[in-house]
Amino acid sequence: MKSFLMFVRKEFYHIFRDPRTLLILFGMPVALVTLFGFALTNEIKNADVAVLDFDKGQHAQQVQHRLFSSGYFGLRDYATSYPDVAAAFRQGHVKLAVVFPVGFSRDLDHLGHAQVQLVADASDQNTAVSLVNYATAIIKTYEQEHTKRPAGAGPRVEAVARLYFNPGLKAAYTFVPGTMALILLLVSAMLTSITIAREKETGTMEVLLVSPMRQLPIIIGKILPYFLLSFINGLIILALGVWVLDIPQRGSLALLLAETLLYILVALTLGVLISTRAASQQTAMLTSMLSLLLPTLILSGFLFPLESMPLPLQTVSRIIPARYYIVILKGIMIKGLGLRELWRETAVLAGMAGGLLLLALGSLKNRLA
Amino acid sequence: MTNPPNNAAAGRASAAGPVITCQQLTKRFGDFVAVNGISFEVAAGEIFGFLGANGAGKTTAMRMLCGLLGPTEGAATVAGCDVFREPERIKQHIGYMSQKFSLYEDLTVRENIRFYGGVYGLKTAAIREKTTALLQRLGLAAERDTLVGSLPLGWKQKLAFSVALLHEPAVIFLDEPTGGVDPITRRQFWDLIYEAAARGVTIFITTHYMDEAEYCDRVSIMVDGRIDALDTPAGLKRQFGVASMDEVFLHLARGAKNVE
Amino acid sequence: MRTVWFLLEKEVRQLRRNRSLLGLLLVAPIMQLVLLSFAANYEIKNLNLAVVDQDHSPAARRLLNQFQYTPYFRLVQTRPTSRAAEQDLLDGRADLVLVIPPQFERDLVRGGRARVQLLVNALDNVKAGLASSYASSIVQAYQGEGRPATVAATVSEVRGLEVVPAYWYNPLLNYKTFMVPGILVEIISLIVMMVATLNIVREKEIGTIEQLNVTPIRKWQFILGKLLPFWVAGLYQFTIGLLLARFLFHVPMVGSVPLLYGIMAVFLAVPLGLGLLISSVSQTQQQALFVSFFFLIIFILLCGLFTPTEYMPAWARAIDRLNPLLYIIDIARRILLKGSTLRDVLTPVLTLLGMAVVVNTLAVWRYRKTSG
Repeated sequence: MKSFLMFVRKEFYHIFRDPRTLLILFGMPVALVTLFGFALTNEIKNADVAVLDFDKGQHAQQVQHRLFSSGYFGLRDYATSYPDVAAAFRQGHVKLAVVFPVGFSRDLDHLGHAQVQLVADASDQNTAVSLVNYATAIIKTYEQEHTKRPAGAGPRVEAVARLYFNPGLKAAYTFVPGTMALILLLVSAMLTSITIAREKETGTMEVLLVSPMRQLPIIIGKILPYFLLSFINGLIILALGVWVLDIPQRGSLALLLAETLLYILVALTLGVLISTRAASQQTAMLTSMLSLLLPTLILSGFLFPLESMPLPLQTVSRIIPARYYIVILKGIMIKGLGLRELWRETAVLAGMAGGLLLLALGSLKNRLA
Repeated sequence: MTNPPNNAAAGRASAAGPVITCQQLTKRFGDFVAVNGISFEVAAGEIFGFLGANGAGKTTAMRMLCGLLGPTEGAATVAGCDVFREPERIKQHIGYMSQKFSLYEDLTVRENIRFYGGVYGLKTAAIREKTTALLQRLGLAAERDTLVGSLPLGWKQKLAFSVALLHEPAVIFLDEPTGGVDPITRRQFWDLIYEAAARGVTIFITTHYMDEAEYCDRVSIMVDGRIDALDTPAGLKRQFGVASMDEVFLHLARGAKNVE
Repeated sequence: MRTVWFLLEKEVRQLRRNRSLLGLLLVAPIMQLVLLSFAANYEIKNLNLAVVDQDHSPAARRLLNQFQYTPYFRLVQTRPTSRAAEQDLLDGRADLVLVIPPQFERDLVRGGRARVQLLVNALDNVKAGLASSYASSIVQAYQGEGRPATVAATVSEVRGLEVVPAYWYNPLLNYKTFMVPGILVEIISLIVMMVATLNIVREKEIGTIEQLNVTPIRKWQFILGKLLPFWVAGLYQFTIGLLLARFLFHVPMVGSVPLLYGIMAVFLAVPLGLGLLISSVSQTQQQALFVSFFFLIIFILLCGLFTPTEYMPAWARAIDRLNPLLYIIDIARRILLKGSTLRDVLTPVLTLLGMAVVVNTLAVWRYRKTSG
């Protein structure tokens, strides 16, 4: 036990003797979570739009007025032809053009039917789809209020929608938990992935391995200091989420912290596993960056809906720890759920932590043999 | 500090004057004075021993002379180049072998020689010629395609020394070059040093081993950033009235403050 | 130049002997590109639908059928009460609950009008918006008959004012067209910058850098010798990536591929130079890694591939102006999809060139052969 404590103390020395790393360690997550919390959004604001009005009639005017007073769109320029629109797209100032065909107003008044075209620059596909969706919704509202219909032609069944959990449809509710999960995972895993690899490189790992200490205490001793550091990081990140980025905290704080600890444990053991397998610090770091950054971004459900992915990739996404922590974060903080609803995700994370620990132990033993 | 070089060294030295000169050379890191106004001269072809306890400032002094570290004040020249103004020109005229191992372990013997030869601007033909000669001299011909990482430490040291001499520098700086090997290997290493000195190369060496100090033409002993003694080994023993360099060293080091 | 050649030769030899690094450099990016490109799809389908049918009438069943005819919804639960269905929203089992009230059919037959309720899980704003608009369209289109219809068809029938979207440059809204070039550039930047970052500081930790520092090697020669091997590796990755984009993902290539190559060559000098700069100011590999990670994650998340950058707060947009990925992804997209020429993309290309010159000059300047 005494040798174990000495060992843990040694790890702390490594960390605190290097103030520059410490600054990076605590400063970086704050900067990143804040930056992404504000900058990552899919809400559209004042998007520049070109108008190609062949109609010049009353309805065309009013539809434009609707669009440009909504706050979502701003008029950038009037095009006079399709090539004008193409030129605007090529220069990249404008991503959407609204086209009113000749006779638009007349047709709408007399025939009760007219077309408006939304031309989007789909080379930037996300934006294109969002812009078209927003504009369609606005034009639809105009239609419902201002077009005359024969009696009884309206919808017979009316749908009344109620929005749960996020009635304001804030983008932050998706992006902030995702960012928190991503940063916490990467910073924690990178920390431990380096530590064992470094001992291997400097040869001190051999010394530890021939010492009478068993592998489990070595791994725990390696993890413990970083566990503390990462937990402090986790607290900072959660606090930023609540106080700076306006994510509610509706569920149990104790549960939130316990789940965060569990998630950090998974991240740290993942780092340990990577470093027991890697030959040098360099490969350990590259492996952790490569295997964690983009896969977590893309396969965790943070940015892309999991249920649209091809089945094999949905299966792959099940081994991404962030996937579960994101569900847990949203569940506790936004929906106010308890362990009763989140036990499955919790069990998966606990299983991952255990499994990774066993694998890391196995790799360490192999090195001895 | 104006003791003339002993006779053996004087015999080897050219008439061109000192290769290394140092006047009141000082290095401060904040409040800490690592090297405190040292002055000395080293003649061409001399083997100059630079002794001192860990932390006495000898590595710092050596790094300044090699152009790796900017001095704070004083004056120094190496091979006629000013340490303050021309650190890059110095590098053409010196060889350097550090205590931290300096060859690439993941390159073979021949690849290391080729690389350093190339970096010093040797012609391809010269590199080829020197490689063969060097391998022959060290008896490493059979190991020429072995990764340096898998050579025994003593061989690595000899190889590193020979590589540092590849471009025929006027001075070679050796920073504890023989750490961690047995006395026989160390003796072999010193044979290489003598060979080089006989060719007129000035040797500037730091060491912990007092038997090595005995091999030097002159020895300086640093304590707390200052040079407390500088003479031939025989002269030093006489000065302190002791029988061995060990005792000279202990006598001086006892008063030190900055010992690691 | 001869010195640079010797440096290059040495770097390449070291690289060749480092199997794991070589694997990370040459194989991993390709695997990642293939894997991630299939996953990076914003299209929303297969929304989980729960139903509370309190009417149990043929009319209610027909409405439900309308939902199942579309690819957007799949029925996962049938619940007796709204309360039970709300639990499905809480657990995340359902994205949307359709509540058909009692007497739905009676209201429809007698009064000609009826009402249903949609309970939407709005946690994800985009998904919620689409789910409710798809569902509303289906409901509005429903006239009480059991005729199958696609959402698009029914929508246009009902509307007096028809909105016809036209997606130029990517008419089928194929996400891969949009994502593959972007992900490719991200992966390449990630790898080359990391490798460059760890390179110099590694020589520092091992101690070999000091041996180089006592040689008469010039600072620019040193940086160039470090940069070139990874620059070639980056172009190799780009070549394989483009081949995959063309033949596996069928990304259209309207514009000049050689032009894109040339620009990529300029671009690569930016992450490489930045990596070398970080490497030469760091004391340990760990520090270098974290600093490099900091830059990379910002570059990757704010490059416009995953979320639009136009609508970020002004201060964030100002920061993002320094993001080299923002420019190269925009350029790649314009050349490949729109056929833009060098004239069209001159401004971002010059911006990248400027960045490359600045970071590499800084890297040369900050690399110290003689320390203070």
